[in-house]
Amino acid sequence: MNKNFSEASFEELRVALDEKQVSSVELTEYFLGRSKKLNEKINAYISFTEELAMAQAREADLRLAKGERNPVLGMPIAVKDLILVKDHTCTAASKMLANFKAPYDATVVAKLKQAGAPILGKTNLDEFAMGSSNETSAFGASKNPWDLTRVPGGSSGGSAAAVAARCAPLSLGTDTGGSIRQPASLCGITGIKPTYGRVSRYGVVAFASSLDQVGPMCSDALGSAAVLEAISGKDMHDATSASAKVPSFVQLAKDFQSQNKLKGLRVGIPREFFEAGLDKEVEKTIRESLSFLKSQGAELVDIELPHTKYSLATYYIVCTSEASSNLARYDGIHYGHRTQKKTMNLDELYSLNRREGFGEEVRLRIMLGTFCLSSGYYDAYYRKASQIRTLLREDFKKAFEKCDVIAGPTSPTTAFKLGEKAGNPLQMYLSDVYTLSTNLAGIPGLSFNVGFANNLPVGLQLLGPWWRDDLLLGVAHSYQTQMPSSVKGVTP
Amino acid sequence: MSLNIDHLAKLARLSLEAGDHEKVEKKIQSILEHFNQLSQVETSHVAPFFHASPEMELREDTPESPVPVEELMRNAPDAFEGCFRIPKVVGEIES
Repeated sequence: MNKNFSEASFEELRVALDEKQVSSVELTEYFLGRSKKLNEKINAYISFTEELAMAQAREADLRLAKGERNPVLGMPIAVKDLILVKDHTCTAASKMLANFKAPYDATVVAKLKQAGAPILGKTNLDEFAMGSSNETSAFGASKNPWDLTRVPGGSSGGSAAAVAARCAPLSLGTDTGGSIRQPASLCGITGIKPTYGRVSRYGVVAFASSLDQVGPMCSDALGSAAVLEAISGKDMHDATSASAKVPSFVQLAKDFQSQNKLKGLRVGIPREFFEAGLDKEVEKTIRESLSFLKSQGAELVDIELPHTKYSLATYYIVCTSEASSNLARYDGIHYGHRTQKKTMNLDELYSLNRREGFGEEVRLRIMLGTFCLSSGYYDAYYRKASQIRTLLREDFKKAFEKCDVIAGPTSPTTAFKLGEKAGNPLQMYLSDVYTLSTNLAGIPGLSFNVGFANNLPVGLQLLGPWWRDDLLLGVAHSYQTQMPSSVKGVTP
Repeated sequence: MSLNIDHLAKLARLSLEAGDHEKVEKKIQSILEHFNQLSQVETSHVAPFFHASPEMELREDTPESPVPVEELMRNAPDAFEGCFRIPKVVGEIES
């Protein structure tokens, strides 16, 4: 095959590995080299795990030579630096964990190692995954490969930028309120937040436990399906992981496409996703992609998600409340940043460790969550938000009686300028306005590139009923088969 | 609503520095204003939904030690003979 692997699709790389036209060592070396070179421009990685990657690649080649096959065997992958890889630092892009070495593998990493996917390095993110632009990273923001003056989105911005610049054919992100889908949209790639419980959260730095989910990012749907297949499943170390059967997502996506299942598929268009705030050029691109789905036989159905306007407030109450509790563990005693200042008592020690270790946005969210859970305000905020969460969930249940999947924009705008929204939290939070309700309800959501507006990528978001991650991958794969130009990468 | 930033900071174990007060108060205040729109929604008969998980299966409570203690201690900023070391606290009177 052509040795310029950055131009190959996931399937082309898969076939090349399986037919021994290329080795995993060759691929891993190529992507490591490209990553190191381009990282000066896009800052997508916080660290590289080169030795691990090369050892894994050599082993993968032996397994391939023996005739073993699985969708990710030998295929390099970058991992968000929120996910533990044993013996390597896991910083969560925070000064708090700048020197933290993971004592064990996250379940998703253990599964990837078992399946034989070489781990290239740890990718940049907003500190503790709290942000929509990557700008809160303690290691400097990652940049959008399509325009280096713009954000890649967040929080999985490094994972998205790495794939968009073809520094990795695959990456892992996490999504608490849009952190896989929004950067996927802004960087022009494919990313899926699986159904809550599909993937184990063990060994993933916790942000908001009832919302967090790990998911794959790739240029296309087939690669995403391959990773999802590898990382899904019940894990005794995560009581919220589900025992739902893990299907072959790759095969299901291929079947969906080859059997033309777009024909007759009812695609729900939520009125609330096309109201004020949506950029006109983005809307035009989204509407064109919907017309294309229609031309392929899909039936567009108008639906309503009436509580959407409350999702932003509901989400930020739930996520900051959970974060304030989850981040209480960072005391600077068992692990994490320890102040050099002299302190008089334990409380002072904790308070200084945390003041110095956490960045501004993280501290703001901890304070906000502390407020929402504090005596006298719990009912008005946390409990109220949890009740509205029920209503948002019911909106989706009702919608899925009228349609098979829901489609709309992933983000109201294309990638914005670095610094444009920093310092204004509400403005920043609004960039996730279409993705938040997905996590509150626990349903799967996928974003994939459907074109450009103002020369920047635009993602179409697909939402599906609980456990129908396969449908979303099928629709995206069908689109990408017809529109191969939509999965192109870029060299910044 | 009165926002007591000192109290919040104390609850959250975050020490405040000069300039933090005003900045944090302004930001939290504007976000809470947005949060307050939720009071428009009638929820008196709606059960709260706290967790998106359809099932919570507990495992057997059997002891296992997948990670050796020494390895876990390696991340401690200050450890001594298998213990976490902190500044002297005995004899201090906490306010």
